[in-house]
Amino acid sequence: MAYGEKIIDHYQNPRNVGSLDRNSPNVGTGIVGAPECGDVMKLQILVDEHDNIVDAKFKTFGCGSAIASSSLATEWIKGRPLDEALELKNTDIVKELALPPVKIHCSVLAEDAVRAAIADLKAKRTGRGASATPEAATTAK
Amino acid sequence: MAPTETERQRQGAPAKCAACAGPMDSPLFCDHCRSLYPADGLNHFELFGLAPTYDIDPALLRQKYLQVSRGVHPDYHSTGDSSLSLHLSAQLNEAHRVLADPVLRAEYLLELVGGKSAKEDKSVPPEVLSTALLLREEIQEARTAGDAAALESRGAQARAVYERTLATIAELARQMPGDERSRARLRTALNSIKYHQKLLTEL
Repeated sequence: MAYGEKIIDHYQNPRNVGSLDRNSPNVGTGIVGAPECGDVMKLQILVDEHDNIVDAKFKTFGCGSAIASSSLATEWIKGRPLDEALELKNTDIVKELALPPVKIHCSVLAEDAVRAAIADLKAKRTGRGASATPEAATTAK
Repeated sequence: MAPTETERQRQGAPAKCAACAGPMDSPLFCDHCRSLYPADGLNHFELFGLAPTYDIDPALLRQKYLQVSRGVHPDYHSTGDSSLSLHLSAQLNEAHRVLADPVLRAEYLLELVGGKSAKEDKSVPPEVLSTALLLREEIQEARTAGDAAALESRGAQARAVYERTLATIAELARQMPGDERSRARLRTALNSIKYHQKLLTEL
Protein backbone atom coordinates (compact mmCIF):
# COMPACT_ATOMS: atom_id res chain seq x y z
CA MET A 1 0.00 0.00 0.00
CA ALA A 2 1.07 3.57 -0.50
CA TYR A 3 2.18 5.63 2.46
CA GLY A 4 0.14 8.61 3.55
CA GLU A 5 1.21 12.24 3.25
CA LYS A 6 1.80 12.74 6.96
CA ILE A 7 4.18 9.86 7.33
CA ILE A 8 6.18 11.00 4.32
CA ASP A 9 6.27 14.53 5.65
CA HIS A 10 7.61 13.39 9.04
CA TYR A 11 10.10 11.12 7.33
CA GLN A 12 11.40 13.75 4.95
CA ASN A 13 11.27 16.63 7.44
CA PRO A 14 11.66 14.96 10.81
CA ARG A 15 11.00 17.30 13.73
CA ASN A 16 13.27 17.53 16.75
CA VAL A 17 16.18 15.46 15.54
CA GLY A 18 19.16 15.75 17.83
CA SER A 19 20.45 15.18 21.32
CA LEU A 20 20.12 16.72 24.75
CA ASP A 21 22.72 16.55 27.52
CA ARG A 22 22.33 13.05 28.93
CA ASN A 23 23.94 14.02 32.20
CA SER A 24 21.64 16.93 32.98
CA PRO A 25 19.39 16.19 35.97
CA ASN A 26 16.43 17.57 34.01
CA VAL A 27 16.95 15.35 30.98
CA GLY A 28 15.50 11.89 30.67
CA THR A 29 16.89 9.53 28.03
CA GLY A 30 15.13 6.50 26.64
CA ILE A 31 16.90 4.07 24.34
CA VAL A 32 14.77 1.28 22.91
CA GLY A 33 15.02 -1.15 20.06
CA ALA A 34 13.12 -3.70 18.04
CA PRO A 35 15.03 -6.93 17.58
CA GLU A 36 12.72 -7.94 14.70
CA CYS A 37 14.26 -5.28 12.51
CA GLY A 38 17.34 -4.14 14.45
CA ASP A 39 16.05 -0.57 14.66
CA VAL A 40 17.28 1.61 17.51
CA MET A 41 15.58 4.72 18.82
CA LYS A 42 16.80 7.32 21.31
CA LEU A 43 14.31 9.82 22.68
CA GLN A 44 15.18 12.53 25.19
CA ILE A 45 13.06 14.96 27.16
CA LEU A 46 13.96 18.15 29.01
CA VAL A 47 11.64 19.26 31.80
CA ASP A 48 11.31 22.56 33.65
CA GLU A 49 10.78 22.97 37.40
CA HIS A 50 7.05 22.28 36.99
CA ASP A 51 7.67 18.96 35.24
CA ASN A 52 6.57 20.30 31.92
CA ILE A 53 8.39 18.92 28.92
CA VAL A 54 10.00 21.97 27.38
CA ASP A 55 12.07 20.14 24.78
CA ALA A 56 12.25 16.73 23.19
CA LYS A 57 14.79 15.30 20.79
CA PHE A 58 15.20 11.99 19.06
CA LYS A 59 17.58 9.98 16.97
CA THR A 60 16.24 6.95 15.20
CA PHE A 61 18.19 4.48 13.14
CA GLY A 62 15.53 2.57 11.36
CA CYS A 63 12.89 2.60 8.70
CA GLY A 64 10.83 5.59 7.60
CA SER A 65 7.90 4.61 9.80
CA ALA A 66 10.11 4.42 12.88
CA ILE A 67 11.56 7.84 12.10
CA ALA A 68 8.11 9.33 11.46
CA SER A 69 6.70 7.75 14.64
CA SER A 70 9.43 9.16 16.86
CA SER A 71 9.26 12.53 15.13
CA LEU A 72 5.53 12.73 15.79
CA ALA A 73 5.97 11.54 19.39
CA THR A 74 8.44 14.34 20.19
CA GLU A 75 6.11 16.86 18.60
CA TRP A 76 3.21 15.69 20.71
CA ILE A 77 4.90 15.55 24.08
CA LYS A 78 6.63 18.91 23.79
CA GLY A 79 4.92 21.46 26.04
CA ARG A 80 2.99 18.82 27.96
CA PRO A 81 3.28 17.87 31.61
CA LEU A 82 5.10 14.60 32.27
CA ASP A 83 2.04 12.61 33.28
CA GLU A 84 0.16 13.71 30.20
CA ALA A 85 3.06 12.54 28.05
CA LEU A 86 2.68 9.12 29.65
CA GLU A 87 -0.80 8.93 28.17
CA LEU A 88 0.58 8.90 24.65
CA LYS A 89 -0.58 5.70 23.02
CA ASN A 90 0.94 3.97 20.06
CA THR A 91 -2.54 3.68 18.56
CA ASP A 92 -2.68 7.49 18.38
CA ILE A 93 0.47 7.42 16.28
CA VAL A 94 -0.91 4.64 14.08
CA LYS A 95 -4.03 6.68 13.47
CA GLU A 96 -2.30 9.99 12.82
CA LEU A 97 0.29 8.55 10.44
CA ALA A 98 -2.05 5.91 8.98
CA LEU A 99 0.62 3.26 9.54
CA PRO A 100 0.08 -0.04 7.74
CA PRO A 101 -0.28 -3.11 10.00
CA VAL A 102 3.28 -4.33 9.39
CA LYS A 103 4.58 -1.01 10.73
CA ILE A 104 2.60 -0.88 13.94
CA HIS A 105 5.63 -2.04 15.91
CA CYS A 106 7.32 1.25 14.94
CA SER A 107 4.67 3.17 16.83
CA VAL A 108 5.05 0.81 19.80
CA LEU A 109 8.75 1.60 19.74
CA ALA A 110 8.03 5.34 19.91
CA GLU A 111 5.65 4.87 22.84
CA ASP A 112 8.21 2.70 24.62
CA ALA A 113 10.87 5.36 24.02
CA VAL A 114 8.73 8.08 25.62
CA ARG A 115 8.07 5.83 28.62
CA ALA A 116 11.72 4.90 28.93
CA ALA A 117 12.76 8.58 28.85
CA ILE A 118 10.27 9.44 31.58
CA ALA A 119 11.34 6.43 33.64
CA ASP A 120 14.97 7.49 33.29
CA LEU A 121 14.15 10.99 34.49
CA LYS A 122 12.25 9.64 37.48
CA ALA A 123 15.08 7.27 38.32
CA LYS A 124 17.45 10.24 38.32
CA ARG A 125 15.09 12.08 40.67
CA THR A 126 14.79 9.10 42.99
CA GLY A 127 18.55 8.82 43.08
CA ARG A 128 18.92 12.46 44.13
CA GLY A 129 15.86 12.43 46.33
CA ALA A 130 17.31 9.69 48.49
CA SER A 131 20.11 11.97 49.63
CA ALA A 132 18.39 15.37 49.54
CA THR A 133 14.60 15.47 49.71
CA PRO A 134 13.06 12.00 50.05
CA GLU A 135 9.51 13.33 49.66
CA ALA A 136 10.40 14.93 46.31
CA ALA A 137 11.12 11.48 44.98
CA THR A 138 7.67 10.20 45.80
CA THR A 139 5.84 13.28 44.57
CA ALA A 140 7.75 13.10 41.31
CA LYS A 141 5.74 9.99 40.42
CA MET B 1 0.08 -44.97 5.25
CA ALA B 2 2.73 -42.29 4.90
CA PRO B 3 2.38 -41.06 8.50
CA THR B 4 2.87 -44.60 9.69
CA GLU B 5 6.12 -44.62 7.81
CA THR B 6 7.10 -41.35 9.46
CA GLU B 7 6.35 -42.80 12.85
CA ARG B 8 8.42 -45.85 12.09
CA GLN B 9 11.32 -43.62 11.13
CA ARG B 10 11.03 -41.67 14.33
CA GLN B 11 11.06 -44.85 16.33
CA GLY B 12 14.27 -45.80 14.57
CA ALA B 13 12.63 -48.67 12.72
CA PRO B 14 14.11 -49.51 9.31
CA ALA B 15 12.14 -47.50 6.78
CA LYS B 16 10.33 -49.29 4.04
CA CYS B 17 8.39 -47.81 1.18
CA ALA B 18 4.69 -48.33 1.72
CA ALA B 19 4.18 -48.74 -2.01
CA CYS B 20 6.95 -51.13 -3.07
CA ALA B 21 8.30 -52.25 0.32
CA GLY B 22 11.80 -51.28 -0.82
CA PRO B 23 14.24 -49.71 1.69
CA MET B 24 14.16 -45.92 1.97
CA ASP B 25 17.20 -43.75 2.68
CA SER B 26 15.18 -40.57 2.93
CA PRO B 27 11.82 -40.36 4.71
CA LEU B 28 10.54 -38.27 1.79
CA PHE B 29 10.97 -40.45 -1.26
CA CYS B 30 11.57 -43.99 -2.40
CA ASP B 31 14.52 -44.41 -4.72
CA HIS B 32 13.09 -47.57 -6.22
CA CYS B 33 9.47 -46.78 -7.12
CA ARG B 34 9.79 -42.99 -6.76
CA SER B 35 6.91 -42.68 -4.34
CA LEU B 36 6.78 -39.45 -2.37
CA TYR B 37 5.87 -39.03 1.29
CA PRO B 38 4.76 -35.85 3.05
CA ALA B 39 7.15 -34.38 5.61
CA ASP B 40 4.50 -34.17 8.33
CA GLY B 41 6.03 -33.89 11.76
CA LEU B 42 9.61 -33.95 10.53
CA ASN B 43 11.84 -31.13 11.70
CA HIS B 44 14.42 -29.39 9.50
CA PHE B 45 17.22 -31.68 10.61
CA GLU B 46 15.19 -34.83 10.04
CA LEU B 47 14.36 -33.76 6.49
CA PHE B 48 18.06 -34.13 5.69
CA GLY B 49 18.69 -37.06 7.99
CA LEU B 50 20.93 -34.95 10.21
CA ALA B 51 21.26 -35.02 13.98
CA PRO B 52 19.73 -31.94 15.64
CA THR B 53 22.96 -30.29 16.75
CA TYR B 54 24.41 -26.83 16.32
CA ASP B 55 27.67 -27.99 14.79
CA ILE B 56 26.73 -29.29 11.41
CA ASP B 57 29.15 -29.78 8.55
CA PRO B 58 28.19 -27.18 5.92
CA ALA B 59 29.45 -29.42 3.12
CA LEU B 60 27.39 -32.34 4.38
CA LEU B 61 24.29 -30.16 4.73
CA ARG B 62 24.77 -28.93 1.17
CA GLN B 63 25.24 -32.48 -0.10
CA LYS B 64 22.11 -33.75 1.70
CA TYR B 65 20.13 -30.76 0.51
CA LEU B 66 21.01 -31.42 -3.12
CA GLN B 67 20.48 -35.15 -2.77
CA VAL B 68 17.05 -34.95 -1.12
CA SER B 69 15.94 -32.05 -3.32
CA ARG B 70 16.76 -34.09 -6.38
CA GLY B 71 14.83 -37.02 -4.95
CA VAL B 72 11.63 -35.01 -4.55
CA HIS B 73 12.12 -32.81 -7.62
CA PRO B 74 9.04 -32.41 -9.88
CA ASP B 75 11.08 -33.45 -12.93
CA TYR B 76 11.96 -36.71 -11.26
CA HIS B 77 8.32 -37.32 -10.37
CA SER B 78 6.63 -36.07 -13.49
CA THR B 79 4.09 -38.87 -13.42
CA GLY B 80 3.41 -38.68 -9.72
CA ASP B 81 2.02 -36.12 -7.33
CA SER B 82 3.46 -32.84 -8.57
CA SER B 83 1.81 -30.70 -5.89
CA LEU B 84 3.39 -32.78 -3.11
CA SER B 85 6.68 -32.60 -4.96
CA LEU B 86 6.48 -28.81 -5.12
CA HIS B 87 5.45 -28.59 -1.50
CA LEU B 88 8.35 -30.75 -0.37
CA SER B 89 10.80 -28.76 -2.46
CA ALA B 90 9.64 -25.56 -0.79
CA GLN B 91 10.00 -27.16 2.65
CA LEU B 92 13.51 -28.32 1.82
CA ASN B 93 14.50 -24.86 0.62
CA GLU B 94 13.24 -23.29 3.81
CA ALA B 95 14.92 -25.92 6.00
CA HIS B 96 18.20 -25.43 4.17
CA ARG B 97 17.98 -21.64 4.48
CA VAL B 98 17.53 -21.93 8.25
CA LEU B 99 20.13 -24.62 8.89
CA ALA B 100 22.80 -23.02 6.71
CA ASP B 101 22.65 -19.78 8.71
CA PRO B 102 24.47 -19.86 12.08
CA VAL B 103 22.04 -17.44 13.73
CA LEU B 104 18.83 -18.93 12.30
CA ARG B 105 20.09 -22.43 13.14
CA ALA B 106 20.55 -21.46 16.81
CA GLU B 107 17.10 -19.85 16.80
CA TYR B 108 15.64 -23.03 15.37
CA LEU B 109 17.33 -25.26 17.97
CA LEU B 110 15.80 -23.05 20.64
CA GLU B 111 12.43 -23.42 18.94
CA LEU B 112 12.78 -27.23 18.96
CA VAL B 113 13.42 -27.15 22.69
CA GLY B 114 10.15 -25.27 23.08
CA GLY B 115 9.29 -22.54 25.54
CA LYS B 116 9.70 -18.85 24.89
CA SER B 117 11.32 -17.81 21.63
CA ALA B 118 13.84 -15.00 21.37
CA LYS B 119 11.23 -12.91 19.56
CA GLU B 120 8.72 -13.28 22.37
CA ASP B 121 11.35 -12.65 24.98
CA LYS B 122 12.65 -9.43 23.37
CA SER B 123 15.20 -9.02 26.17
CA VAL B 124 18.33 -7.13 25.26
CA PRO B 125 20.92 -5.77 27.67
CA PRO B 126 20.64 -1.94 27.74
CA GLU B 127 24.33 -1.63 26.89
CA VAL B 128 23.76 -3.50 23.63
CA LEU B 129 21.25 -0.85 22.58
CA SER B 130 23.41 2.07 23.62
CA THR B 131 26.48 0.59 21.91
CA ALA B 132 24.46 -0.01 18.73
CA LEU B 133 23.15 3.55 18.88
CA LEU B 134 26.56 5.07 19.53
CA LEU B 135 28.26 3.10 16.77
CA ARG B 136 25.57 4.08 14.30
CA GLU B 137 25.87 7.72 15.28
CA GLU B 138 29.62 7.57 14.85
CA ILE B 139 29.36 5.76 11.53
CA GLN B 140 26.93 8.40 10.29
CA GLU B 141 29.22 11.21 11.45
CA ALA B 142 32.27 9.60 9.86
CA ARG B 143 30.38 9.18 6.62
CA THR B 144 29.13 12.78 6.62
CA ALA B 145 32.64 14.01 7.33
CA GLY B 146 34.08 11.72 4.67
CA ASP B 147 36.45 10.30 7.28
CA ALA B 148 37.42 6.97 5.74
CA ALA B 149 39.77 6.00 8.58
CA ALA B 150 37.12 6.55 11.25
CA LEU B 151 34.59 4.67 9.16
CA GLU B 152 37.00 1.77 8.81
CA SER B 153 37.73 1.61 12.53
CA ARG B 154 34.02 1.75 13.49
CA GLY B 155 33.34 -0.93 10.93
CA ALA B 156 36.00 -3.15 12.48
CA GLN B 157 34.49 -2.48 15.90
CA ALA B 158 31.03 -3.44 14.67
CA ARG B 159 32.33 -6.64 13.10
CA ALA B 160 34.18 -7.54 16.31
CA VAL B 161 31.00 -7.11 18.38
CA TYR B 162 29.10 -9.25 15.86
CA GLU B 163 31.71 -12.02 15.93
CA ARG B 164 31.80 -12.00 19.72
CA THR B 165 28.03 -12.33 19.95
CA LEU B 166 28.00 -15.07 17.33
CA ALA B 167 30.60 -17.00 19.37
CA THR B 168 28.36 -16.70 22.44
CA ILE B 169 25.39 -17.93 20.43
CA ALA B 170 27.37 -20.93 19.16
CA GLU B 171 28.56 -21.79 22.66
CA LEU B 172 25.03 -21.63 24.10
CA ALA B 173 23.35 -23.34 21.15
CA ARG B 174 25.71 -26.31 21.57
CA GLN B 175 24.35 -26.73 25.09
CA MET B 176 20.73 -26.98 23.96
CA PRO B 177 18.35 -28.04 25.44
CA GLY B 178 20.38 -26.81 28.42
CA ASP B 179 18.69 -25.25 31.43
CA GLU B 180 16.36 -22.26 31.55
CA ARG B 181 19.28 -19.97 32.39
CA SER B 182 21.28 -20.93 29.32
CA ARG B 183 18.16 -20.67 27.17
CA ALA B 184 17.51 -17.18 28.52
CA ARG B 185 21.10 -16.23 27.71
CA LEU B 186 20.71 -17.63 24.20
CA ARG B 187 17.52 -15.62 23.66
CA THR B 188 19.27 -12.45 24.78
CA ALA B 189 22.25 -13.12 22.52
CA LEU B 190 19.96 -13.87 19.56
CA ASN B 191 18.13 -10.60 20.09
CA SER B 192 21.39 -8.69 20.51
CA ILE B 193 22.87 -9.96 17.28
CA LYS B 194 19.94 -8.52 15.29
CA TYR B 195 21.22 -5.06 16.16
CA HIS B 196 24.78 -5.98 15.20
CA GLN B 197 23.59 -7.47 11.92
CA LYS B 198 21.66 -4.32 11.11
CA LEU B 199 24.71 -2.25 11.97
CA LEU B 200 26.85 -4.23 9.54
CA THR B 201 24.38 -3.66 6.72
CA GLU B 202 24.88 0.10 7.23
CA LEU B 203 28.57 -0.12 6.47
